[in-house]
Amino acid sequence: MLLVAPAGALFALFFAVPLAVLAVDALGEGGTAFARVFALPTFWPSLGGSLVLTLVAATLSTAVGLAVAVHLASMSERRRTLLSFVIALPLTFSGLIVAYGFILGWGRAGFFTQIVAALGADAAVIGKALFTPTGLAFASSYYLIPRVVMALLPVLVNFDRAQLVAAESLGATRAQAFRQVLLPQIAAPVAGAACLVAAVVFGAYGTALALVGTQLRILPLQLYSLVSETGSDFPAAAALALLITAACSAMMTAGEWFGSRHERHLAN
Amino acid sequence: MTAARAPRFVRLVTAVYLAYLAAPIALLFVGSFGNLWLNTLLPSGFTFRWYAEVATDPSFRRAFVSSLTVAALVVVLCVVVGLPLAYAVFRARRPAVRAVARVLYQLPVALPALVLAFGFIRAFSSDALPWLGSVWLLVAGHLVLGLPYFLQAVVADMQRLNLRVLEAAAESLGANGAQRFFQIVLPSLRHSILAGLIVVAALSIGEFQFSNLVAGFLNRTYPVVQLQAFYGATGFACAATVVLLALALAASFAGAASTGGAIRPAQVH
Repeated sequence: MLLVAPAGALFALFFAVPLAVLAVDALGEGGTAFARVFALPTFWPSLGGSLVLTLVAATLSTAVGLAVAVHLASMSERRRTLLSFVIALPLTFSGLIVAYGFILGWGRAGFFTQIVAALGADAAVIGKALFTPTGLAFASSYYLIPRVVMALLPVLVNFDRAQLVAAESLGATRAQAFRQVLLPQIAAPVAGAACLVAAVVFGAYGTALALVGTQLRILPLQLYSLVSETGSDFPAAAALALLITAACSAMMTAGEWFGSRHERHLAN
Repeated sequence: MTAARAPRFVRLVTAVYLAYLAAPIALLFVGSFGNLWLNTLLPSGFTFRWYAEVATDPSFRRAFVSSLTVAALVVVLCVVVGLPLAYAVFRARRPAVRAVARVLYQLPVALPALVLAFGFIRAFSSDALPWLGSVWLLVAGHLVLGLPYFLQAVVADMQRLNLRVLEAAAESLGANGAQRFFQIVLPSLRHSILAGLIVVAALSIGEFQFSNLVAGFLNRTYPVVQLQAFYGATGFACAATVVLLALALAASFAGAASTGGAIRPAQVH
């Protein structure tokens, strides 16, 4: 009991109390704060932007992360350890590093924007793309893909590849063996990783703020504007904060459920 | 899984991905040493002046010291609060304790830093708890956001080492609780404790989303001040960002060295 007391006090005061205050703010007026959130002119466009961002980022980073993890799992342990280290680097990067790195590469006068323009593409279109929800998804994948790789690598390393060899010896192509033998068995952890990165990107605002400022229509930036502007409607902001937290927690819980399904699959 | 080689398509994706991974880092370094970078493919001229400007800028200097102070306090408190908690979670027989720990692991993702920051603003600007603007509030927030990663790393290591068997052996030889903790538990866990603390320190130093709203004007941390640099000269912004990047890279190398690369890095963000 004594062992958990300091942590209990920490989380009571600096986690439970702030959340309880927000809940009181949001629910205090009989739920009218939620009605005011839905009536904000920017709420529905921001929800749309967040959905596009989350869907594109989760799909892109899960697809790339899966391919990279499959490749890493087929390597010798030495090479795999080395490459895992390199791939894990962005996990401790602040969102600001990612934002400025992508401005240098893909911004209006970015390195790659100019190269693509020299090859005949419209520089104005490419240079603006980074500052849309889809472009933000492309930049956010920078710190999401490592999460997918780290989540899936243990699953793939433990996968018995003799099954793939058997499938190929029975006449399947390598691609068929991967699609029809490997994929069905790792579907649950892949879905779990997708949920995890969706929850991460849905609640984040740092990279977006550094890239575009508050003009970009996504829910966390809308909340940030409400919080940082003076004289704004705090109960409505608290209601929006609860909605965002509920969405992130739901995605996280779904991810956990997929993960536990895979553990049951292995136990059987 | 080494019997069959990966399909060519998969190897191609990895190659493109590694280029995508390296490009922003390379461009930031190049830009920080470039004298002038304005609508050209790469900057022209070589200079150290951007680093000199960052180093002599009073607000950057203060922010740097502030970041290091906060990170140091977070690391110390992480040991004080987190180590007993990890030990309790590991020894717990009741499934409820393990369930609470699993919820805790998910906390940094399930609860966005922005929402926690807003909760802090509302809770600690009241007359009862008027702490907003103090450095301790920053420390507390970073601790709540970082502790789950430390806990996960240390509890996993306790399970991997089969600590219970070691402790039972020590107990049978007459060691009491404190002796077991300081002579068996702590020395066996030193690698994972160090690696966990490095991750927590790196997270604290790079943390922006929480600090941006909660830091007082006098204790703004480095990333909060760094955002202002984005609106100035490219070289200055690059140099200011490379400082943060270099710290994150150093933390990754230190983390890998402390575990000998055996344990994969904790997952962050």
